[in-house]
Amino acid sequence: MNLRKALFKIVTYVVLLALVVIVLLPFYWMVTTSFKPPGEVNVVPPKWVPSEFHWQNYLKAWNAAPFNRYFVNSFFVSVMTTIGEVVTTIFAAYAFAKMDFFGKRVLFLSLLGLMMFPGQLRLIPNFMLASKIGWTDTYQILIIPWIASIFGIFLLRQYFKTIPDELWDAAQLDGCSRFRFLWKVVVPLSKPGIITVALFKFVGSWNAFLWVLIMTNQPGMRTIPVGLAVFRSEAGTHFAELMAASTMAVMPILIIFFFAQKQFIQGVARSGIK
Amino acid sequence: MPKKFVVTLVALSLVVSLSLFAAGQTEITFWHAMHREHKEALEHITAQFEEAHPDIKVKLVDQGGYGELSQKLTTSAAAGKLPTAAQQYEDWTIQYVNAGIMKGLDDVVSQETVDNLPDALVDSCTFYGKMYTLPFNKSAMVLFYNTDLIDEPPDTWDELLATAKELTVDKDGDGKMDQYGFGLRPTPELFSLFHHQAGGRFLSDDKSELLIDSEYGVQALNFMSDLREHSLYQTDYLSGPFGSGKVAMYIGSSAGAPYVASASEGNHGWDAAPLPHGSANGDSMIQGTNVGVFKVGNSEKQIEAGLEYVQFLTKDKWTIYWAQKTGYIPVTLSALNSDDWQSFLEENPKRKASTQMMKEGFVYPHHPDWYSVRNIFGSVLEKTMLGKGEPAELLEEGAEKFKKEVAS
Amino acid sequence: MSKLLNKFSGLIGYEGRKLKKLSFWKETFWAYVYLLPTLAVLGTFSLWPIIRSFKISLYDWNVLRNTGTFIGFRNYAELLSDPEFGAALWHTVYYALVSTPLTMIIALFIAILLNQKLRMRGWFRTAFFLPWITPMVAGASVFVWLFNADYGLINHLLGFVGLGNLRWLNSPALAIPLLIIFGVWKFLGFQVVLFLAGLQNIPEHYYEAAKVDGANRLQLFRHVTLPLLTPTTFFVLIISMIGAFKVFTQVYVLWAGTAGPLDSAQTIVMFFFQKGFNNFEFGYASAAAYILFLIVFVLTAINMRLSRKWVHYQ
Repeated sequence: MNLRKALFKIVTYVVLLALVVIVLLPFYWMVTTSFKPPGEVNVVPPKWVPSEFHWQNYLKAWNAAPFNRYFVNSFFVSVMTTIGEVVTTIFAAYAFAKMDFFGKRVLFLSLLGLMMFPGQLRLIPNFMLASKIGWTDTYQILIIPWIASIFGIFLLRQYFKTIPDELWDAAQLDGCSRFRFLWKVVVPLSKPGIITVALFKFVGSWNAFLWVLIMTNQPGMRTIPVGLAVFRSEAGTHFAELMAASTMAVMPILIIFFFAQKQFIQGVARSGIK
Repeated sequence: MPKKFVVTLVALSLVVSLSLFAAGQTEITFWHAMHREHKEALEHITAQFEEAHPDIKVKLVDQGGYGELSQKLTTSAAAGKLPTAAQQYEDWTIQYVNAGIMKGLDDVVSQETVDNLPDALVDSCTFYGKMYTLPFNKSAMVLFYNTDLIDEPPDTWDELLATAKELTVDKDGDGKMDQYGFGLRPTPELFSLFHHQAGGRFLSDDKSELLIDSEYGVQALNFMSDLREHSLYQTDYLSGPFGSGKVAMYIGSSAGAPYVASASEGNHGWDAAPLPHGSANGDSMIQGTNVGVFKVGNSEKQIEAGLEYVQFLTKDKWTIYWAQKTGYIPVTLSALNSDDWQSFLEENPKRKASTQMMKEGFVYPHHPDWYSVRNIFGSVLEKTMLGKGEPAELLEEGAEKFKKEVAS
Repeated sequence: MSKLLNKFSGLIGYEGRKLKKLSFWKETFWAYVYLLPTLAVLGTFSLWPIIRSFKISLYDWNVLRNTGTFIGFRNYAELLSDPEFGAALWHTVYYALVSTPLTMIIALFIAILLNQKLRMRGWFRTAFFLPWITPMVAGASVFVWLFNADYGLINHLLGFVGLGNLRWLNSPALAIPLLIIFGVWKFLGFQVVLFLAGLQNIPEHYYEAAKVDGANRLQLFRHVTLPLLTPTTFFVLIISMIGAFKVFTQVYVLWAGTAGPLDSAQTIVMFFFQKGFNNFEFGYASAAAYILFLIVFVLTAINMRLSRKWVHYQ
């Protein structure tokens, strides 16, 4: 029995490792290319490891656009959007999961319906709106339209639904308000779901490109993905530098994810309430 | 939201604009898609312009790539919030002209100025018989070749084909080519180039017919099929495989020279040559954008200042400076023939080919649906390359499609 | 008639007698208070633009002048007989219907492996998540390089099994498969995270009870994990399918702004983008977006209907 268990573990590791290698191959290629001297980027057969670590790519990439400012903006916009989204989503998801109200199904289906339109459809009308109310080149236009998330509501609704109704009945007997119940009981119990929602929003916000570009003209208002556009032109791509800039762009989320994933695994104490 | 920050910002911009107003300054905006060295050169020229015109302030806005620039211009036109001036391709300009948002240049640009532009650039900037833009970052197609493998670049199509054949080799005998004589990217522009060099015209005079279904079109496609036999065929840029020695020659925009240089560094030598001649001519296609001024969303004063600015960019001194710093080609005949530029060429002989090509160039004719026409070209070319039909039939299909969808 | 009325009231989520209760209306009031921020934002920045583009879809619209001529449903009629749109539709359906289940199966498999007590579990999870956070431009550039027919790594490796001659980026037949491979790679991590969260949500005591009954690993998976995971599976299915039908950026970056060889990777959103921003035909483009919406809506509705048969809430 124990032998079988050990064997199973080994097989698991081997399979996982193989999958990781496949998945990480493009990523590895990105990082290793970011260190290559220019003549080595395209050689055949490919160089797995650069002959010398060409750190200058990073320096050049960093100076190709105002990345200091872009990083600050990306952080600010992503953090604010995420906070805003988590708050609006918790309320909305709770209403859909645990409250009985007029028009619930129609509303939920309509929200899902909104998701089915391509985002590109919204660009021009939203730009017209933004310029009418003077929101172009502001943080508001980069944040506020994105603090509501249908995806997030849908996800959290699934989470909240699994919380037994008896808890709310008991809380009511203790004279607990709905608001208090939501924040003191439901939210802590749904920490993994909330962190998942927050993480996805953060990544989405971090990588948003066209919206930022359309809504802003001042370099001081723009974010990292706009910076990544400077490495491409009609005549070619500065490959090594694009890869260097992309690696830098990924790092912060990578670190956040590494810590967040422990949260959404460890944060579960669900079995206790059943 | 840091409210204080926003308030301060608003106050600050108010103060700035007020002080500008007090000084009688006009602020204009120029949208571009230039990065890095190109952007620095543009900033330098703009600073010189501001020095020469203390009453004008130019705000340069980097809008990403050309695709994004076009999307921003479209969006902004819809909202009536256009910049004063912007870089633009001909097929965008003709749409802007049709929508009535462009400021015509006929009143400000003298005949002398027009006569001083290479023919291709006059064509490029003229719409419905009127001038609407001025040339800015212009490049020409040239033949890039590996000097370690080729001493004398080919002069004619036949020579090109022979050289390509000779240099396509399977060194280790594994059945896969290790080196290709030519690199072929199936772009509408490459087809157009060969079609023109064979002697073909694109559109009938009344622009109702696409004239590619001719012997010239067939010649171009057949030549490309032959060439493909000895080519690395891919949709991606060719500077990479060229630099690594996988490809010995390719035809591409002279704007790609910096990428060629960087990819070849430490691997082999390279140079650029004028294009090989087809049966009719050895003309090159001139590419790159022009600059124009929008009349919507701008005050009279801004339009005036914008006109000054776009003219400034084409002044000999600055078009030469621009070309030296970026790799593009000066846009006036007097600049091309100037001592400054000629002595620059002596020091940078790799730039000679594109300079020569600029004077022997052509551009696409203007048609509001040129985007669709390019798609037709692309599809005819790709079908030929994939062996999905005979050139003559495919060209006829393309011409039919134009009549049905575009000319209607 | 009353039957129909019942059906209708069921559809909008209440029964007749409920409406008479004050407590129901009180709860309705509070529910809308909770929903207010969401509805305000979505109403302004999503619903309004979408309604406006419906109007535009009924016009021959000149976007540059922001005016147009009313032509009724002509754009829709034209679309339905436009072979280019038909092809885009087919490519989109092909992509969505293959990539969605494929990604889900692989993601579920990985999530289950990762749901055990393993050394370096955190590193594994992070690794699978990486493609999803990699900027699309960078990811696609690497793919273009890896899948180059002549000197790309993939063909080099496939050469060992005699398949080294596939022209990934240049042959029409391989365009959608390549898009699917890219999609699986890119969105795998996203789904793994969702499945992992779902797996974590299955209470331990179900497993314990089943073990007491002598269930083996496979039986545990078949009779505990799978059924209890169905709400997550359903959620991932709906979200991924809607996302897959909107496939665009991948195409745009893999084929440098074109729709692939002979437009073989033309998708509906790509079609929308090209008609709108390159051809300046926004009326036509908007109509295409509405047809996309209709298709996805019907598919989602069918899925929701079917879900009653296989989704179990605990």
